[in-house]
Order: sequence, then structure tokens, then C-alpha cells
Amino acid sequence: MARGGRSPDRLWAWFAVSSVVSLVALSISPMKDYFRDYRRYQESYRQRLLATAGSSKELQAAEAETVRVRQTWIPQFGDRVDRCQSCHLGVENVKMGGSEEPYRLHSPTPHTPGDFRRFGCVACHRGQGRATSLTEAHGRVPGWSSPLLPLRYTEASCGACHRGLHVPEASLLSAGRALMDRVGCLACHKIAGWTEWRSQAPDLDGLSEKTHVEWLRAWLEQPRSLRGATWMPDFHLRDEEIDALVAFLWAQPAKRPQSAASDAEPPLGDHDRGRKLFRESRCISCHTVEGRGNGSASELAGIGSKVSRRWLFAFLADPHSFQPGTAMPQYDFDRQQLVDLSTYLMEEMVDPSAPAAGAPFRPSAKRVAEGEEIYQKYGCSGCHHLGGRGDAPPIGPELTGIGGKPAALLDFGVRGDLPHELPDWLAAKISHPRSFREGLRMPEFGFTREQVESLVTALLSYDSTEVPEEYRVTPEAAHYAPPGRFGELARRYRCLSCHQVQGVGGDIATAPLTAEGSKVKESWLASYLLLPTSIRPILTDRMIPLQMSEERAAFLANFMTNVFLDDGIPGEIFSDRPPREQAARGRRLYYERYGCHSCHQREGSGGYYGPPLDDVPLKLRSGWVAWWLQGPQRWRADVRCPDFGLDAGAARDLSAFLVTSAHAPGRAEGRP
Amino acid sequence: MRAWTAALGLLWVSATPACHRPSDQARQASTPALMGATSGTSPAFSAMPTPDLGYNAREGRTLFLHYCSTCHGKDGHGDGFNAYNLDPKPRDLGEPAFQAKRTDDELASVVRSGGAAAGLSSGMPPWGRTLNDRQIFNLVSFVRTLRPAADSI
Repeated sequence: MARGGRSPDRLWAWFAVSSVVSLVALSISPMKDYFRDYRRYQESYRQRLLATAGSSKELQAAEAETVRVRQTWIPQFGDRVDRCQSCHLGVENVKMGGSEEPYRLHSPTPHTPGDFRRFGCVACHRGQGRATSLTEAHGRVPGWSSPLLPLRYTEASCGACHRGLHVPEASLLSAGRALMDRVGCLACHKIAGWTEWRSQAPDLDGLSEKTHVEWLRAWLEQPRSLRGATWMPDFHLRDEEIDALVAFLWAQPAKRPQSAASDAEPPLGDHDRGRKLFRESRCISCHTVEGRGNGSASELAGIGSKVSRRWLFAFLADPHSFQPGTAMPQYDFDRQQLVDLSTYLMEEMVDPSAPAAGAPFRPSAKRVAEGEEIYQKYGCSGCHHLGGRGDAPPIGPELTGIGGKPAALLDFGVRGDLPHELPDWLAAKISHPRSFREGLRMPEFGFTREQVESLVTALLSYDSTEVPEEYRVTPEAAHYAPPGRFGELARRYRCLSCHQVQGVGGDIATAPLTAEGSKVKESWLASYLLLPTSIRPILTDRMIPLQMSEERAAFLANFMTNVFLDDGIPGEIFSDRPPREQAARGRRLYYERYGCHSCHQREGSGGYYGPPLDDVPLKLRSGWVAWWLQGPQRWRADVRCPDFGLDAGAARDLSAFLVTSAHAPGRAEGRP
Repeated sequence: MRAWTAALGLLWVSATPACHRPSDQARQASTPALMGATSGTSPAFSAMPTPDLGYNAREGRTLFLHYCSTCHGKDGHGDGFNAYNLDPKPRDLGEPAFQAKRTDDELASVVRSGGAAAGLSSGMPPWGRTLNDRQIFNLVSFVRTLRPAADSI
């Protein structure tokens, strides 16, 4: 009885407790939702809309706004669901330009505002699209592997779809990828999809003929102590490692140049003639001297303290047999010129702080063998060719997918000071690779802060996001191989080190040669190849005089003006001299309407930015001039001459004026 | 048992929306954290120097150096090497009075349509066909970061 009397009481108690518990449990979900930040952001945003409404329609729209989760669903891009706009309410509202987060208008990018529905938010900014609370949405929760990308690295996301080295409109990413290419990350680290990397480091055969042991030792100790701008990194080698490496390199025989092979010491030449030749040859179009010059090739100051005169003489005579992969053209110097030039360089380009040559060095076989191990250990062959060795496999870890690696999987080693974030880890790795643990091999490159930032951006771009085919932008691989005799000469003079033809080639020269024949006259081109006059005096990197024969110049000019043609560009548009009144109209357009003289020299006055235009009649085809004026960027996208939107008539008038010789009789109407 | 139910009931009531909302204090406290996280200056990155320019001004700078610096100078002081040739000379774009006087739209309009269209020198060409609206917006963003020549002395 007693038991039966207690039982209903207990049951009641249990019932009360469990109903309260289930009530609480049931309320958790609506409560969580109720306290989501987006509710008050949406309420506040609605107030802003009401306050800024400029018409009754806008007012009605603002009043009709309800608090809800706002999402973008992109089925074609991995079924993404981004709810970021539940808080970031003003991203598409131009009235929110000056607002603070999270109401701010998204700043314009090549894909904003046009492509919100195509990309959503997370594809560029990372984070967790489906989440609706602040920390979860920004991905700052354990287990979420792609937290919000700090804004300064957002360009990394451009690189997920844009696979090319140069990504237009993503300057930081492009700078980073270009730097990766230049410094040779690919020498040690593989990145899937990046197959066309080529080292610019010199071959190391026959160093004992090129330089002296003391120089090599100092170089290996700290390359930048001898040449500040070198990309050879500092491997922090120990003394015994340097000794072994020097011994190994010293034992490697020279590759014999075929044409200039001569064991005799060349005679001393004339210093002044050499200096004149050095300047005329415009070596600084590629090299630098004390930092002045283009900088795509090595610094020449100090070279006299590094190389032997015999080597320099032979190298200048036949650079390609020493360095088959070099971008350096073969100048057609005669023997006296080679003697003068090498004399000048050896006497002038001296670095007083460089070590002097000592006694002859004979490495022991044991040391040579040790050196070979060191050579392999640090992956020297990733950048340098030596003897008949093939390319060794990269010694560093593969970097495919590095940009999406979860921070939990990174080895922070002894760097307890670093925040556990991927960008910080990458920045520290690049800046001080050896600071993580003992025994690491990655060398130090001495990057500046900006360089580190661009490199981190580039590395973050190699993440493992699966990008659908239709989103990918892979630049078409350009293929052009100059044919026949033209090809032989183009390789000898390394035309494509500076110029581009059909998208292939370097970018030192501003002028692509693809449509050269539609542009210039054959006679002008032939004389220009013999004696390149400055087209744009402001440029450091100008066309070099290759000392070629008249026959070769004529052949090259004939080939280019007959082969490098663009059918869309008319040749000559005037059968004879252009009508005088047409040229007069062009003159007015030139000086009064378009202010061409702001940038161009003609008749002794004008700016020095664009090419001087007095020689247009001898140089350019009239059809080209008219075509150019109607859209200069069609020739090259980054041409600085603005597109004035000229119609065909105005372009013809201007062409008539420009192809009429400035000094022809009857042309002295005087400029306004 | 009554105490139990009372306590649970109180908890339930206190959490009920109609009776309680997050305090203003709590809201204010959460706002800076949010802004920090979205502008890339979360504590994780405070140890490193903040970037000088954002995406827009950075692209603007690239464009400015490529197209404009020849006359306007790389810091916008009107001292590019081609400025000698121009009459009138390009102005110092970093000048505070100039910066205050011109709206973004006015600056963009001169870049787009050239000096002549605004009653200024035709030495400033129109860039509206060479650069698109976004590039011009970014150029203006960069011009807004310029400081007067005196600053650098």
C-alpha cells in the first residue's frame, strides 16, 4: 500500500521533470537560431535601408524586408551553399559604399558585382558557407580546414581557377608566381600542373677555368656578400661542407667551346675602345652594372674579380657552347673587339672587397667524393647543370595542395611563437626556413616583406579546391619555333629572349614581332638591325647592336617583313604621297585635338615618352599607322598610348600627316 | 522537487525571447571582433605588418605606375620625367586641398574623359577606352592614398 501510495507521486515527479527537460531540449534549436548574430544585423540593416530610402518604392521594399537566412546556391560549382549574405547584407547594394562591416558594399573586382551567383563568397574568401554564426562561418573552429582567408591574401583564390603564371588583375598573385618561377621553388618542390619551369642558373662545368677557389669559397659562404642582387640563396653551409663542395666543383672538367677554344692567354686590348664597345653594345639592356640596368641577367660589377680573362674572352666569343641554355645572344664581335671588351671588363668591373686569387688548388679524391654528397644533399642539380648529369628528382616535399593544408597538419617545429595558421606558417617558412628544426636543408633567400607576401599569396593559390572545368582559365600554351635559316639566326641572336612572336618569347623588348611585317618597311628594318637607333630613349633596355653582317640583316628584314604579317592590318593606304589637305587635317588633330605632342617628339619639340615620330615616313607603313591609332592595345594589351576612339577618317588623316616627311618642301605651314 | 521545477522554470523564462535580449554592451563588444575578422587584422596577424594597400588600391597603383607616373610621377607629385614637356604641368595629386576639393566621381571623370572634357589641359588624355570602369575606380582608390610632396622631405 505504502509502496502503491508513493508510486503515483514519483511518477508525477518524473513526468514533470521529463516534460521540463524535453521542453528545454526542444527550445534549444529555436533559441540558438534566435541568438544568431544575423538577426540583429538584419534588423540594423533594415533600419539603414529605411533611413536611406530615396523613393517610396525603396521604402516599401525596406519595410517588406524580413529576418531570414539568405543564401546563394551554386549547384554547378560543387553544390556550394553560401549563407554569408545573411550578415554581409550590403555587398550588392551600391548605397552601402561607405558602410562598415558587415553592411559594406563589396569593392569592385573583375568578378564583382557581376558574378556573385556564379562564385558565391567562399570560393574566394574561404570559411564555412553553410554556417550562420560568426566563428563557424569564418571557419575559426576546430576541424574546419579552410578558415577565412585574410583579405590581403584573397588574390590567392584567383589562382584556383586562373592557372597561368601571369593572372591579369591579380598583381600580388602574379608577382608571387613570377617570383616562384624566378627563384626556383620548382627546383626542389614539385607542383602538379606546373611543368614548364626552366632554371636560369648557370651550368657549373669547368669552374676551375672560369674563376678561382677563393672566390668560389666566398660565394658559397654567402652569395650576397659578392653580389647583392643574386637569387642564389644562402645555404648556411658549414666550412667543411664548403671545402668539400669546392673540391667537387673544381674537379669537373670544362665543356670545350668549339669556336673559341684557345689555351693561349688573349693579348691585352684597349681599355677605352672596350668601354666604348661595352656602352654601344647596351649590355645593360639585360645586365646591371651596380644595380643600373634591366636586371634580367646578372650583375656585371665585380666580374673582373671573379672570372679569368681567358674565360671571359672565350665566353664572349661563344657564350652558347659554355651555357647552352643562356638567354644571352651571340654578338658577332671580331677578335679585336673581343680583346678590347674583355680587357675593359676585367680592368673596370673590379670588386675591391672580393677575395684575391691564391695558390693553385688540387682537390683530394676523398674531398671530391664528399663534395658530391653535399652537392646531392642540397639538391644543387635542381638549378645547375653539371656534366652529363640528368635532372635529379626534386629533393623537397611536393607543394601540390599546400595552399589548402589544414594548420593542424603543419609542422611548426620549435616555432612556438607562430600563430597556428597556414599563412603565418608559410611566411615563416619562406623567410627563415631553418628556424623550424635542426637539420633542414631549405636555403634562405632573403626576401623582402612584400616578396614574402606575394609568395604566400602564390602558395595559397595551390590549394586542393576542385574547380569545375568551365571555371578554369588555363592560358593556351603558345607554340612557335622559328623555322629554317631565320630560326638559326634567331637562336644565335636569341631574338626570343627579348621579343615575343605569337606569344612565345621574353618580355624585355616592348615590341612583339608577330606583325612586324605589317608594321615596318623592309629597308628601315634592315638598317635598324645593323645600327639600332633608340626608338624610345627613356628605356634602359633597348635593342642591341649585334654587329651582324649586312647580308644577315637584309635576310632577317626580308624574312620578317614577308612572313610576320597580320591580314587584318592594311599595308599602304596611300597610293602616292597623301593629299596635302588630308595631312593638314591630321596636323590639327595631332597638335590640337589629341595632344600627341605631349608624349611624342616631332619637328624638334614634344615629349620624350613615346617614340619620336620624325622617322615615321621611312619606318612605318601608312596602313599600320591608321590601324594602330584606332586601338593601340590591339597590338599589345599594355600599350600606354591611350585609345582615343578615333574613327577611320581621323585615323587616315593622322596617318597622312605622320607619313608625310616633316622636312618635305611645302610642309612648313608651321605648327600652331 | 518544487525547487527543481522552479529553477528550471526560471531558466526557461529567463531565456524566453520576449523577456530578454542580448544587452547593448554585448552587441558593442561583438562588433569589433567581427570587423577584425573580416578585415584581415584578426589577432593572428597583428604580429605581422599590415599590408599597405588593399586589392583595389594595389591594382590602382600598378595601373598608376604603368600609365600615369610618366607625367604625374611615381608618387603623384607631378614630377614624372615627361612633366617638363607639359604646359600646364601636372599637379601634385597628393595636395590635401586638391584631394578635398575633388570627389571620387570627378577624379574618375577626368581619367575617363581626359582633361579637355573637363576644361583642363588636353595634355591629360582620355583613358575611358583603354581602362575599364573598375580599373578607373581602382586608380582613384590609389590616388586617394597619395600624400603631398612635402611629406617625403
